[in-house]
Amino acid sequence: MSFWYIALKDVQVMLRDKKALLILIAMPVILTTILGLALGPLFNGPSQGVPHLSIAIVKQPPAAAPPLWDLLTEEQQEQINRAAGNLDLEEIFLQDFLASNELQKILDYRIMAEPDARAMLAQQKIDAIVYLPDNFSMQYVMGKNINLHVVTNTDSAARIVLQGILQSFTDTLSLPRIAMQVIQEEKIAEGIATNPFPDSPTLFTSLVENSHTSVTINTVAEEGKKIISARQYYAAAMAVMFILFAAGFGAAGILQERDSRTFDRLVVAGQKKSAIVAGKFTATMLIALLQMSVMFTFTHLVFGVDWGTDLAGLASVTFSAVFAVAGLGILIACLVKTERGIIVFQSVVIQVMAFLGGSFLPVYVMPEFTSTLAAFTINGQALKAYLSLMEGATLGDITATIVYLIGFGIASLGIGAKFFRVTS
Amino acid sequence: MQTMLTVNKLTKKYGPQTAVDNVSFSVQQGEIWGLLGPNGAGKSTTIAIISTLLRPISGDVLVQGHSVLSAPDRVRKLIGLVPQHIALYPTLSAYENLAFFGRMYGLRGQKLKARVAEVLDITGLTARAKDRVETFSGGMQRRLNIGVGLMNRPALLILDEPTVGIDPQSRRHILETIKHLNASSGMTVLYTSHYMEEVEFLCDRVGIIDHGRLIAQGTKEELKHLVGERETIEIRTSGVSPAAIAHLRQMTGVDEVLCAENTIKVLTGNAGAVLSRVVASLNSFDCKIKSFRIQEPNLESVFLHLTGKGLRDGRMT
Ligand SMILES: Nc1ncnc2c1ncn2[C@@H]1O[C@H](COP(=O)(O)OP(=O)(O)O)[C@@H](O)[C@H]1O
Ligand SMILES: [Mg+2]
Repeated sequence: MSFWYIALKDVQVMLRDKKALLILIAMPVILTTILGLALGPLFNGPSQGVPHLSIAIVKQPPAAAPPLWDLLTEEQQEQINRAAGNLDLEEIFLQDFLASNELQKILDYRIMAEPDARAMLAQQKIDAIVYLPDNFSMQYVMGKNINLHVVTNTDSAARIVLQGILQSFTDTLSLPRIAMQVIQEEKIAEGIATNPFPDSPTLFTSLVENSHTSVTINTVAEEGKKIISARQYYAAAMAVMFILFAAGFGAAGILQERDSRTFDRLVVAGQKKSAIVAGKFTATMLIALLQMSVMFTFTHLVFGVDWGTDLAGLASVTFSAVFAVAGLGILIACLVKTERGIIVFQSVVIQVMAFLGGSFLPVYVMPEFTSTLAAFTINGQALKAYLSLMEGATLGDITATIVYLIGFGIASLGIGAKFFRVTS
Repeated sequence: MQTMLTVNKLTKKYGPQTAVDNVSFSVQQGEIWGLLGPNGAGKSTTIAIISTLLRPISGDVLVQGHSVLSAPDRVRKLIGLVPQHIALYPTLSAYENLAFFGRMYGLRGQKLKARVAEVLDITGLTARAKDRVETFSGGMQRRLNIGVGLMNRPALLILDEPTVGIDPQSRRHILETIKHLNASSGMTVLYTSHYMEEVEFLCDRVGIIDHGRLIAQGTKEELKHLVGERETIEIRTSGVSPAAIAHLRQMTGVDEVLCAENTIKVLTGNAGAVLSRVVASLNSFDCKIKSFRIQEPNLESVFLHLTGKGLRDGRMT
């Protein structure tokens, strides 16, 4: 039973930690609220009355390396290049976003040279020019807010619609980044981390203001399935992204207790390594469960989010997701040696996992390569299962996901426990 | 009298460095045994082995006859550890910390409550029991750190430098508490420190450790005998030059000279005979003497005699 008291003590410690409460509990709630507002248009609503738009895409000439590039270590540059290489934002923007079924109905685009575009705009043959930034992916990966420069000479409804469309795209990319930014800044304030991207702005309030643009695009659901709203999507997406932070929190707690020698005290009090590992594992499970409960309750009561009707399915996905997260926490604690390592996990690994797993952009607008990778992330798997339940699936339809998540939890707990060090 | 603790030829290396080198001593039931040595001498490493947290390369430790190697669980039931670190949960209250560790010792319900109340009383923290540890002064945190080590009513209380970095009043309180625990309940105590005064005040018998080796042990009187009839002249000055110290060292009748922070200590066989020459020499080097006194041998002079350096900083100027 000692493990249970260890776990309860950790939950108590978490509840008294303002930063942990902000990151683990408040952030997912806030982000779900904002993303639901900003991205509602991408998911549903009638398309009547929306004028058809013709736009020109002008690719900007390649610029020099991004500012501050030289300040990064070679390893960081390498990381960014790799991340940017895996993510062709230009492709996503043009093929998956503008040319998506929904947008095709209201918009067509042509890629052209700037002078031609200018001429056509002057003759009102097109409605707007959108300048595509050079190094699009690179800038995103480096933490820049995406700025799409738009030139237009009409001030009709068309312009507002276009702005709304572009806004949804950039918001989708930048909002989850803000979450990371807030977390980073917390750590920077503590003096542990140095901000690798000092000029990336955090325009939290301005984005909230900008997020009221309304664009209406039709989403057609496949036969027999319920349509998932933006609110539903992001409720699940944020929930599964933010339980990953519980793993980081759990791992940080392990490093701390090893460092401050409270683990030594547990050993002298007769506790075995197994009880300590079990306690820490249970603690992370309880914290992630608490996060999920807050998200269920908040999104359901405030926004009426429908998480599906199969309670057994919901309970099973939730249990297996927090089980996997708790295993991840133990695994990280044995892979990472310092608090700095935890920060890298929270600001890089979680970001990549969240991106791949569809917490930033719906997986179906991503290139195939990333949606394949999504299958390997625990958040991606859990999100997929939650979305299925929302569409009306039941426990029987998602057993594969549950098996994967439990398997992941067992494997990472096994490896983590084997290399777990109690004394420093 | 029964033997509480036997440390037998203990050796521990970190890589090529020998942190504990063939250390042997024993502690009788009911006594306060002091392990005195400067920073890095190997005190904490010795404590970690005795507390079953670290395995030695060779040697063994017996607590009431139970070996830390073959019966660590038996040993754990007998000892209470107060680590050098403040090993507490800062956002939990004093009460919650004690209750948590009490549960780890298997205490539940009324027994747990009663023991927490007792320990709060012993450590003088009853009035602040509900406050978070992070709001405590350094001295109060140290007291609670000791309190946790008392939760299981250990037969042997092991304290590793429990007064580091606190004010004199808190230190006094802690030393009195330890003495009281020993006197009232016969708790055996193993106490490490680099403060000679603490060990002098508390301990019946003392071991002196330096560079991992126990260079002397015995009662305080036995140790002071090692210094012989020699005395220490302690001189406080407004500032000392290395040249002045070098000159003092060459003086006949002067055995050792130690200098730290404007205080010079001269170990000599005959204080009366060398005092005037020491004063004259310092004057000639323009060192202003603020005060001086002649001390009987103490543990500091024992350490100086054995190692040629001071306890506090290990520095020879
Ligand atoms: N984990 C460790 N790894 C390497 N060297 C260590 C470690 N712990 C202690 N040491 C070294 O062993 C010696 C004894 O240390 P310690 O037992 O902490 O001394 P004390 O407690 O007397 O200050 C020191 O030289 C210290 O640097
Ligand atoms: Mg030490």
